[in-house]
Amino acid sequence: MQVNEAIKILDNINSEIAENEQYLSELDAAIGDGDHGHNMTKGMKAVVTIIDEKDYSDFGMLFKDVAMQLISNVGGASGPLYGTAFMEMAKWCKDKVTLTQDDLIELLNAAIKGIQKRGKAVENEKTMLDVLMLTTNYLKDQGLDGVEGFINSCVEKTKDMQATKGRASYLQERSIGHIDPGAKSMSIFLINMIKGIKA
Amino acid sequence: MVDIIVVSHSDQLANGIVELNKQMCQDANIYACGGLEDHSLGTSIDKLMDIINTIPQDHEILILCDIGSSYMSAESAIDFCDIADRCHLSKAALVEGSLVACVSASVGKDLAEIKNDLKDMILEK
Repeated sequence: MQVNEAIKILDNINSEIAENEQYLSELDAAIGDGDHGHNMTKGMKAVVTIIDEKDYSDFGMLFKDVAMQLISNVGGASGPLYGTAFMEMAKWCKDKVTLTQDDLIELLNAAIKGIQKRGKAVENEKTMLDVLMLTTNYLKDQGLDGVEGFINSCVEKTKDMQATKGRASYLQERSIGHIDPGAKSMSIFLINMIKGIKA
Repeated sequence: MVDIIVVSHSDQLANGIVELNKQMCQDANIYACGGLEDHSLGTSIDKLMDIINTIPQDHEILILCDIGSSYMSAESAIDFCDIADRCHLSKAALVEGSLVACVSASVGKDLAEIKNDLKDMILEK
């Protein structure tokens, strides 16, 4: 994958987040403050506004701009979380001009590191990490085949979990029975990134 | 000198806490950083960075937050604007912690001393 292809992927993520704005906010309304769709749509719109008008020679510069836009323009927890994920990814692929399938795994490991640094969550706490960590393991063990279906099943699995991090944790056992909105938005990022690597 | 920043999702909540503190410590350097630029609910890193940038270089900074994501936003701001050496992000209970910090700052305590004063008020954030 080249840098210009990554810009296209980010454009697609922006469109898909916007299409899912209401759904993401509905998921968030059930267990949080109901603004995840609005926040992510606003953040990704700011991202594409910046990246579509600039020229990038490497992935590090691109991901750094994505990080800063998300951190500045997403008012909820997802801003610092996705922002720090992209910042760690930017550090990992400093000066890189192409990304391979193996690179993707390393890149996702960097994203996990960023999200854990910021949110201190581990697996099974009903967060975006429940999609990101399991998907990274799947890619390591089984490669790209069937990964989209696997990602969607990870999103579904958050429904049965009880939240112990973030605002949903205040609901205790009442957080069970709802898909985590961060898990859903993470699936949109991952599925589009994987499409880009496959292309 | 220690300056205190109150970070909240709500503009009204941040301003209310500053008001409460000013009643006790009129001269305290305490700033409200609440809500987004359009006053809707959320935490704005840009708003926080703007406040940090107005604080003189020789002042230390204590940041107190309301709930989870405001802490994460403040932590991101500290990471990105190179102030970690003179700044402490506290998980102290916001209302009580701000009062303790304000009183301590107004009697000239430094950041390490104020941090110690807050140690029994730390919450999970």
